[in-house]
Amino acid sequence: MPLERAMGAKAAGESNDRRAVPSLVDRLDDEDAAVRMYSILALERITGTRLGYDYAARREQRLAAIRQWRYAIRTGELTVASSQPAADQTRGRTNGWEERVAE
Amino acid sequence: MSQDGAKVRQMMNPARRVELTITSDASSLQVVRAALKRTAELQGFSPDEAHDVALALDEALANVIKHGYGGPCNMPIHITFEGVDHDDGRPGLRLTVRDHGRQVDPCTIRGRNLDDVRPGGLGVHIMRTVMDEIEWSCPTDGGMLLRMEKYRKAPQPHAAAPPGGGRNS
Amino acid sequence: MTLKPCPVVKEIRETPEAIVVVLTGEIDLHQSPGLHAALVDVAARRPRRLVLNMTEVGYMDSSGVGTLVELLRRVNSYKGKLALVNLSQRVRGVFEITKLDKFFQIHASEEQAVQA
Repeated sequence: MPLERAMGAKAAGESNDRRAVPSLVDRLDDEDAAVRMYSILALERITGTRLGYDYAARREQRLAAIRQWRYAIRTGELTVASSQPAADQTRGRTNGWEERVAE
Repeated sequence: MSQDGAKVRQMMNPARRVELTITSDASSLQVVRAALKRTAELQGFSPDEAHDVALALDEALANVIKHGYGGPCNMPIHITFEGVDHDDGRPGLRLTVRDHGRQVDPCTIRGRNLDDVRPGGLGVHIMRTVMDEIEWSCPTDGGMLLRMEKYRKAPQPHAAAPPGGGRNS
Repeated sequence: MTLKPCPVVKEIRETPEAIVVVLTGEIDLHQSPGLHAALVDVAARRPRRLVLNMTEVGYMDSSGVGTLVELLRRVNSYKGKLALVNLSQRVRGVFEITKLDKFFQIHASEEQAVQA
């Protein structure tokens, strides 16, 4: 259900779950605009950027931006939990609005 | 007529500024919204626009309470409202929110164009939808500073207000 | 029925067709947790139809919308029906900005809500 996918994306962003980044990127191609919006909001919260993705743009433009996202994940430009290099510790610690909460 | 004259005088007063300090307790939000709605209406915004501006500030404060301080309800939050003029002459309102929580993006991200770096989330989405300008910065003595601005659509104070159906959203 | 004291819940009424919850006031971060708890209580009774009368709700922020979304998910999970009645233009606007309006049944009156 689109509502479940949208709220799943919202929750992933609020918990700053970096492991969710690849599946959130998959949802950038969802047919439901609300799912796409919550997915990019979550990605922005986790990584600090949208990489130019617009959830309301036409599909060709969205696909181009999704390729940017996949490239950024592959090259390690984005901090994804399973492969967090030591050099990015500072960025990892404070990336995302949620990090301000001491866990 | 004299009411219009009074409105023009108010909008040309550069010194109108309101400062509020609240604690990071959600029960303060309704007080701030009421004060901001009134200020926005005095600055010439319609009741609907004033509601929207109050919503944006409410969302910003909720973020500070939930995430900036993350729990304690006795931490200070400093808020200001100020009448401003756009370069093109349109009057508007500038809001600032200053907290003393931990600093986050965009202060510590390296190797990235700072213009691209933003906090995200639903509250931020609402703030960006409502307000014309929005910017975070990191004061040198800690915490975060948020600045938001909204300008009136009508270029002149004495322009006829649109009929009630207009919804600025 | 158990009525938890929650300032934004004005009344809870049970009719043959539905449980109707009448809300009032401003639903923000301060009020949302209490409202959430009250609505969880109502949803636990698994009413076939649950109607929220929003006539007197003058303000709602994203925390309020989130509370209603959680209620919707609960009602959906047991295949019940949730309807929002008489949303003001401003409150509806918050649902539209958050792109959640289309997930809700929104009606102008309780009568229309129970007939849908």
